[in-house]
Parts: sequence; structure tokens; C-alpha cells
Amino acid sequence: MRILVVEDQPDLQRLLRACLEDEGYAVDTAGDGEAGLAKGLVWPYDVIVLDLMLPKLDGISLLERLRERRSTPVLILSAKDALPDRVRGLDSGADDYLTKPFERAELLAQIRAIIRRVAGQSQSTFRAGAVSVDLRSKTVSVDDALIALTSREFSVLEYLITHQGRVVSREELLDHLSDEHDESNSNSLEVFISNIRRKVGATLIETRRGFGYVIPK
Amino acid sequence: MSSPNNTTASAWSLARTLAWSHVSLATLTVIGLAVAMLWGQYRGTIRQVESELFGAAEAMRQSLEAGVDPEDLSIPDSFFHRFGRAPRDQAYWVLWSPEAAPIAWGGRLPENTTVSDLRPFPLSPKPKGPRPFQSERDGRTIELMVEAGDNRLMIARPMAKEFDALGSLGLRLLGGILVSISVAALIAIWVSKRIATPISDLAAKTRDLTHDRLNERLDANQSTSEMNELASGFNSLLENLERAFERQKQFTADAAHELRTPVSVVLAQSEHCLARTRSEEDYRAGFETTRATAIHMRQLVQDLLDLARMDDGRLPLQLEPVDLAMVGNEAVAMMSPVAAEKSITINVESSPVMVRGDQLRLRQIFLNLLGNAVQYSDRGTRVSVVIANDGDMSKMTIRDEGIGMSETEQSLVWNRFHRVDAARTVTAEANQRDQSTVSSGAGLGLSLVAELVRLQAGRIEMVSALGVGTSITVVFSRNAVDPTTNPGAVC
Repeated sequence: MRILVVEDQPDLQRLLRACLEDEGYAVDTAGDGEAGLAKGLVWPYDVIVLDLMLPKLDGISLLERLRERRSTPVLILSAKDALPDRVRGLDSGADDYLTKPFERAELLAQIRAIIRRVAGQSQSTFRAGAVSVDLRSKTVSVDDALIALTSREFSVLEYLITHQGRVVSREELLDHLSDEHDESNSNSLEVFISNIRRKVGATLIETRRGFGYVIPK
Repeated sequence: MSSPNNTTASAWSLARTLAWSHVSLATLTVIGLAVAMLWGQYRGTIRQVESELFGAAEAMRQSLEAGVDPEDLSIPDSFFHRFGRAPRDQAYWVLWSPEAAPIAWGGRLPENTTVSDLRPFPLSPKPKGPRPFQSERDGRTIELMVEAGDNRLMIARPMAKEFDALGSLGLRLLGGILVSISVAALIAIWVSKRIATPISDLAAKTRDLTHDRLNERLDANQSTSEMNELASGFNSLLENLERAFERQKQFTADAAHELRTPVSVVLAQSEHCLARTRSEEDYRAGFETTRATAIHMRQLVQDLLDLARMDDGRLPLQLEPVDLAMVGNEAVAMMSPVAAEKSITINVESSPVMVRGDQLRLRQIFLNLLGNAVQYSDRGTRVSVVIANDGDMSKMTIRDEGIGMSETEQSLVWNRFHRVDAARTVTAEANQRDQSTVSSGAGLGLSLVAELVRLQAGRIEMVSALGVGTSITVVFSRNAVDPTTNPGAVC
């Protein structure tokens, strides 16, 4: 999962990135509204965490302009806690509104909730055959036996299982797994896939040659 | 339960007091008038009858002097001109010898009375005043006696009719009094209600007033002009209160808002460090961030406190002769490293300028203005500081080549928590880096400067144009520097 953080306070920006990277998300950051909008329009983020009081372009305008072309889920994270601000933020197209100062646990829970909603599921555990993936505890189990996956392996599996039944191309997978500074070899994707197959079973992820990968329903 | 009487249990209500005073005034007036009228009527009647009787007595005395035999005397009719025939018929007379023996008598003596029952009453040696007779009232009869030679002549008549008339007049007056008092009472109740009701309304409104109902107003269309004044005075009081409350609320909301971001940083930083074991450098960086943020919050709190103190007039100022140039150079020295990070040079042009002020607060003014100049300027530009005397004035000018301000912004910039449009600041990083050295960076700096300058009897001139830069001049009057006054004075 790839997340864009638009926040002008540098300490907070750095901490948000650290917090989200700890959870295994790929994180891009923007320090002002214009950079945020540009990145939001270019990359297919899974979630955008958006501050409202931003230099150059305020958060609400950014959101409105983003919504003209993209439906990327947006979580507003703002110091403005008055009801009219929250209503306006949500009406402008935000999926959720969190006020500063925020709790790390709540921020992460809201991001997970957004990811679940996009996947069309209400529980944090996703199942495919004997395999179940828990987005909350970041664990994978086969027939109730826990399987140890690396963070990147989990990210690949997380993306595929939240898009279960849909063929995901290599490019799409790479876009959602690496941030803008990530220069790891795209061949490593095959390594992750084969590692996952070895650990949880070869039949879970199917390869559609020329198209990509899919976890069938 | 709160009724208006609760607060005035022992005191009379205004309405009651007004009504009572009104009614007692009316009662006293009416009774006084009635008593005066009755008394006057009574005296008038007595005088009238006395003059009738005296006239008759004089005529009879003259007849005696003219030699008429007492036996032939009678009361001349012509002196009785009131109340028809009755007094004439019921009048009687007696002529006594000096030894008080009746010589002659006539008329109709009172019932069951013979002439021997009647006695002349003693005449005082000298008749008083202009009245050459003496009279006595015996019950409802009036007797008048004159001297006729050595004899004494008494003539008398009953007063029943007159007294009856006076009595019925008294009764009618009493009726009139009762009616007028009742009417007066009704008017009093009406008037006092009219006066007192708006006052109780006002009192009720005042009592029920709470901070969330400050937008309510009294009807300024009251029955009396005094109440109108009271109502409009009360309304303007409410308006002022509402405005002050609104300002206070806004200030608190703004202050809370400004604290949210640093608190978020501290919270996020500590949660980051606690989430799992980190490297030593990570922990160190975490503490540094937390410390810098705490310093920022300390400055914010200090600024808020200063503003609150100035609002209360409790900010102590150590006013003494100070060299503005020295303070300015100190401030520039403190700010130069920050400016150097953005490759901004600060040029100072100064000559010794003595003003009367608080050295620390003057430095605070300089630091805030310099901080703003640096914060809103592009890399590689210049900031110039000029400190000099100009006639009667001492001036310090700080000019930058920064982003400048529109006229609208220029009028807003002195407001608390106003910040030049965040979208136009040069870079977010520069904005943040300067925050710990300049004031709070929360838009309090310039409002603080304005207050501090005002407290030191100075004024501020600002020239600014978008894209060109901003020049702010602080002007102190040189007359304010008076070395003879106590330099340690606290303002």
C-alpha cells in the first residue's frame, strides 16, 4: 500500500512518514499544496493523508481539484476541529477527518479502515482458501498456523488479497509497493512472489502470463 | 424558583412604594382640603349669624336709648335674611338689669325653659377687638349679649339648620374623599405598574443572563424616556460584553489551535520512539525534536501571557533611558545566524539614539520585526536596519525585500493570530526553522510589537507592496526622554 502525506510542518511530516513506514506502507511526502496535488494526480495512492493549512494551495482546494480527476481515498489530518471545518472537509470529498493532536493508533486504524472499505470488506481478516491475512496484526496463517513473512512479502500479499479476484499487473503492484525514492530492482517482485508461494502454498497466487497476478475468489 | 420578590423580601417593591406614596399624597390633600372647607364654612356661618344678631341687638339698644319701653321691644325682622323663617321664629331676647334680674324678654324661648333659667353671662371688662359684643354657643344655640346702658341685652337663636347643613356638607365631602382616594389608588396602581414592570423585566433579564444568551436585547421602546435610556444603556452593555466574550472565545480558540500542531509533534514523536526499539540516533533525534517543539510552545505560551498581561495592564515595564542603536545592534547580532542560513544579509546604519523605554521589550520588538523580515524574504536578499534621530523623533526602520503585503493584509497583520497567507510564504522549511528564534510564529509577533510600542508611547508606520518588500518604522517621540524622572518607574 502506498500513502501520500501532505503536511507542511517538517517534524510532523517526518514522523508521519516514520510511523507509516513502520507499518510497512510505502510513503511519499509533500510539504505544500501544489506538490501534494501534483503527486496525488500522478501516482495511484491507496490513501492520501492531507493537512488543511498548507502553503501555496490549501488542503480543501487541493482536495477539490484532486476529485476532478481522481477518487483516491483522502484522510484529512488537521488542527481545525470546529464542526463547520469537518463538515466542509468531508463534503469536499474526504473519506475521513482526524484532528490534531492525533493518536498513532487511531491514525493507523483509520487508514486500515479506508483500505478495507476500498476492498469492500468490513473485517480486517481477508481469506482465500486455507490462507487468512490479518491487516491489523500484519499476520498470515494457513490452516490456523502462523506463517512468517517479511514486511515486503506481506505488502505484496496484502495488496493482492485486498484486490482479490482482479488481475493486478506488475506495474500496478510496483506502483503500490514502492515510494518515489525506491529504486529496488523490479525483478525482486518475482522473488517476493515465489517466496510467498513457498511459504503459504503455490496455488494461492496465480500468474496470468502477459497480464499479471491474481488471487482468485 | 426565582421570583422577583425573593431578592427584596424585606423591602417594599417599587410598585408598592409608588402606589402608596401616590395614594397617601392624594388622601392627605383631599382630607386637608375638606377640613379647611368645613372649618371655613363653620366659621362663616357663625360670623353670619353673629352679625345678624348683633344688627338686631344694636337696633333694639338704639330703640331703648330712644326711650322705647322695654316691654314694647321686639326683634326687628329685617336682620334675619337666611334660612327662611325658622331662625326668626325661634329667636328670643332677654333684657337684664345690672343685678341680673330679667326686666323684659320676648321671642320664643327654648322648650322647657323659663326666663329665670337664663342668666346673663359675665361680660369681660373690655370687649375684644372690633367686636363690641360677646357671644356664646350653648349647645346648638348661639347667644349674643351687648350692653344697653347699665342693662344687658341678650339675643339668641338656635343654629340647628345651619349645623344640619354643615353636617350634610361634611358627609358629602367624606363621600367625595372616598371616591377620589379610590380613583387615586387605581391611577397609582396603573402608573406604578407602568413604571415598575419594565424595571422588573430588566431585573429578570439581568438575572437570567448567561454567557450563551448575550445576543439577547431589551426592547428599546419603553414607556418612559428614562426606561428607554436604561434599556439602551443595558443593551450597549450587553453588546460590549458580547463583543468582549467573542474576542475572548476567538483568542482561546486560536491559542488552542496554535498549540495543536506542536502537541501533535510531541505526541507523534514520543509514540514513534515507544512503538518499538529504535537506534540511539533515532532516540536522540526524537529528544531534539521534542525539545525544539517544547521551546516553540514555551515561546507561544510566553507571548500569550504577555498579551494577556498587557490586556490587563499588568505588564511591568522598566522605563529608563536606553540607546536604541545599542539594542538594535544586539538584536541584529542575535538574528544574523538565522538570516545567514537563508543567505540574507542584515545591514545596520545607526547613530546613538536615546529613548525612554524598556530595554528587554525594545529588543523583543527588534527581534520580532527582524524575524518577520527574514521569514518573509527570499534567499540572498537584504534586510536593512536604520536607527537615527529625525527632528523631535527617534526612528528605527527595518526594510526587507521580501514578499510584501497587499493593503488588505496590511490592515489585518496587527491582529492576533493573523499570519500572512500561508500559501505565499517562501518555503515551509524556512517558515518552521525560524520559529524558535523569532516569536511564536503563531501570528502573535506583530500584535505583540504593536502593544509594546504603544505601551512605550511610540507609534508604527508601515509601507509595503506585494513583491517589493515591507518597511516598518517605529517612531518614538524624543520629548518622552526625560532624564529627571525616576528611571526605575514601573508602568
